[in-house]
This record gives sequence, C-alpha cells and structure tokens, in this order.
Amino acid sequence: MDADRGLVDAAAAGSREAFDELVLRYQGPVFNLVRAMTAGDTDAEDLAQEAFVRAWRSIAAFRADSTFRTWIFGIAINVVRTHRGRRSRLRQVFWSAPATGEADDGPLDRASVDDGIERPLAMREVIDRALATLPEDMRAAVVLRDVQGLDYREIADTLGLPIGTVESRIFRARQRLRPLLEVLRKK
Amino acid sequence: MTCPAAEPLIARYADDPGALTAGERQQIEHHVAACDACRILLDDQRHVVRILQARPPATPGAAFTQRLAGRLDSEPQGVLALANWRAWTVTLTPVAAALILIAWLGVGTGTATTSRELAAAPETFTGWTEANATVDPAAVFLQPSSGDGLIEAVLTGAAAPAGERNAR
Repeated sequence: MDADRGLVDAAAAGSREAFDELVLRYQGPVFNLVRAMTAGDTDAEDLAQEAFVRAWRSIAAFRADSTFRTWIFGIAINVVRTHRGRRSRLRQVFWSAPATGEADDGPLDRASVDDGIERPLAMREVIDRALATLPEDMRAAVVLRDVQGLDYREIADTLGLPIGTVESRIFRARQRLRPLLEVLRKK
Repeated sequence: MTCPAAEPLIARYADDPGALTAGERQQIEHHVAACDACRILLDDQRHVVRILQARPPATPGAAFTQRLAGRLDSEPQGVLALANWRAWTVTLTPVAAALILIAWLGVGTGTATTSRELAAAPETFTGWTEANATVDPAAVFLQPSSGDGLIEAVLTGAAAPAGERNAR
C-alpha cells in the first residue's frame, strides 16, 4: 500500500495543500536524484522543480498500480533526459567536439577528496563525476538502486523495464564505476 | 551455473542477499565458491555499493519550496481542472444528485398530467376531418390518403390533393 495514496487522491482532486505536502516529502529525494543524474549540474534545482510541475499537471492521470515515489522519480528521470538531449543538440551545434558524458572537468584524483573540511562534498563530487561517465540507461538504474535505495521491482516499474534488464544494467554500471571510484577506497 | 548467468545474481547478492530466493542464494554461493573471477566481481560490486550508499545526499536550497510554490501557482488551473476527471467527479456529485432528484420529481408530476390528459383525450379519430389538417400539418398522417398523390405532385409540380397539400 502506497503511504502517499491519501495525499495523491486529494491532490488529484485539485488540492494544492495535499500536493504541497507531497513536495515536502519528496523534494529532497528528487533533487538528490537529479543531482546524481546530472553530475551536479547547476540547473539541478530547476530540473527538480520541473519534475514537480509536470507531476502537478498530470497527477489526475496517476495510475494506482505504481507508487508516487516511483512515479515522481520516473518523471524526474524523463526531465533529465530531455534536458540532456537539448544540451547535447546545442553542443553539436556550437561545438565540434562530441559529448562524452558530463564529467569533463578533468580526471578524478585523490587530491579532490583530501582537500580538508569539504571532504563529504568532494566525495560526492567524485562519485557524481564517475556516475556521469556512464551511459544514461546504466546510470539511471544504478542511481535508483545504490543512491536512492529503490528495490529492483521499483526500479523496473520506474524505468519500465524487466527486472532482468535492471539487474544486468546495475551489474555493468558498477563494473564501470569500480576503477573510477578507486580513489575513494580505504578512505 | 555459467558466469554470464551468475552476473545479474551477483549484482543482487552484493547489495541485498535477502532479496534472493533461498535457491538463488544457494546457486550463487556455490558458484562464487568455485569461481575466482566471479568472487572478484562480487567484491568489486560490494565495494561500489558501499561507496555509492555513502554518498552524502544533496539537498535543495532554502528557497526551493517557495520558488516551486510560485511556479505551481502560475499553472493554469482551468486546464488542470478540465483534465482532471477526479476533480470533476467530486465536484459534480452533488449536482448529479440534485439533477436526479429533480428528474425523479419531474417524472412523477409528468406522469400525473399525462394520465389526466389521456383521460380527457378522444379515444378515436372520428372527430378528425380535413379541416383539422389545415391547422395541424401532422394531421395529414391521419388522412386516408396513401401519399401517392403527394409524391406525384412533387415530381410533376402539379397540385397535390387537399389533405396532402396541407401537409406540405
């Protein structure tokens, strides 16, 4: 049973108060998801907001066979995809160099993790830059599992994929991440 | 179990062994015990899981909620309401109930009136004459004409019989 069902029904009936409560519950997880999916893109807040605006527009169409959490995460991932697609097209227009992920700020190194009191932030930056090197389908699956904590069934629902495909993508994503996250080993 | 078949299970075994069935767990443990390469893969997977799970969550700025509320306020409520069948259902329930009540009362009254009118109405068409047809075009259907004259008149432009002419 979806713990948000009552609020979702009220919001679907037009209650902004109910929707605002859903926003309070999920603004942190949605923003965190968008940040992890966009390597700390400065537009992350706008993208997270766009996800909620789209959810408000279409909450009447929300299907009872999924949870609000998987639904809003799915919307957020679509918003990120749209944003990245637009960016990619702009890159193709204005730059000749092909886009190879978002992590184009130089190599990951231990110095960025050992730079004093900002270590948690540096650690997050290293992880997000490593995530940004993944193909988008792998990134979404592994972020939903290991960063957001969804179970495999929820991830399958969110991404509209069979569980076997989700398992396979997560496995391959982790294998690609392992050397990139080596700088964080033994920390 | 082959190594490729073990990989998806290794992914799940690395982050949540309890989510596997007893049979799956037994299979993967048996395979990893016998396969050095898959044991290394399992260690790698666990290592990545630990790091990703330790990633400090990012939190939105203090103005996030307020800014979002402003954007939601500017959303067209009319369009939302039109697309929102649940809102329609809730809003229109009392209206529908009132309409049903009115219809029920109306049917009750209508039935009584109709009964009275029927009681007063002539039981035969004896009183109908061609003169009636001059004031009531529908009366043409009560005339003994077959309608052939009317059709002929339309086709030829000739004058129709009196009863049928009244009907035109």
